[in-house]
Amino acid sequence: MKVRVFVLPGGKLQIFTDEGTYEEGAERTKYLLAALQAAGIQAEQTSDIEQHKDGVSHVHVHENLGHSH
Amino acid sequence: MPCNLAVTITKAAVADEALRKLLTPEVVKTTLKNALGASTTVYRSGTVVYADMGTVQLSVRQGKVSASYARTDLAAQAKADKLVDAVSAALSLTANNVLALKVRETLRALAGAVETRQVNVNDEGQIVQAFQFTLEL
Repeated sequence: MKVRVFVLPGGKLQIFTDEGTYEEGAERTKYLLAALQAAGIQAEQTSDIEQHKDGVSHVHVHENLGHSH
Repeated sequence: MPCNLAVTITKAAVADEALRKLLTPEVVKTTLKNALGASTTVYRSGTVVYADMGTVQLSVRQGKVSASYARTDLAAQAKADKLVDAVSAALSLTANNVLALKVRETLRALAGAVETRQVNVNDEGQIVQAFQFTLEL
């Protein structure tokens, strides 16, 4: 499943799952957050795991500045 | 730019105090040197990092910046205020970059390949620079 994680200024994160069902996306998101916590990154959930189709506010990529792998 | 139709969207945050903990004394020293100039006297004593700026001495403890100066010197006070603001902003940026690196490390451990992009994003009406990590999980 394709997952995108944005790290924004001020320690904010947004996690998007882009494929599969809501339930699969929710499971992957919880797994990812648990992995961050286990790595010592104290990322606390600040929203429910929401569905894009419900119109929840989120970041939109405005411009791509460059990439690496 | 058209919106990619994500299935799920979740927001999370690392609190300021936890972000400041990412700033080790050596990282703070480097940030101060970069922000104040390579010739600035920057040194550490234990976990506290100091910078001598003539009439103002800056100290950074647990990621927080404070300034010492002669209280009767108004020019020094003005200088201190500007320096504290500038260094605090630089440390915030550094902490966020360290966070992004740690997030990427964690994602790589989970998924192997992680595509990394620096992007400008529209975050509730504000254009801000962000890191975008894309992986298969």
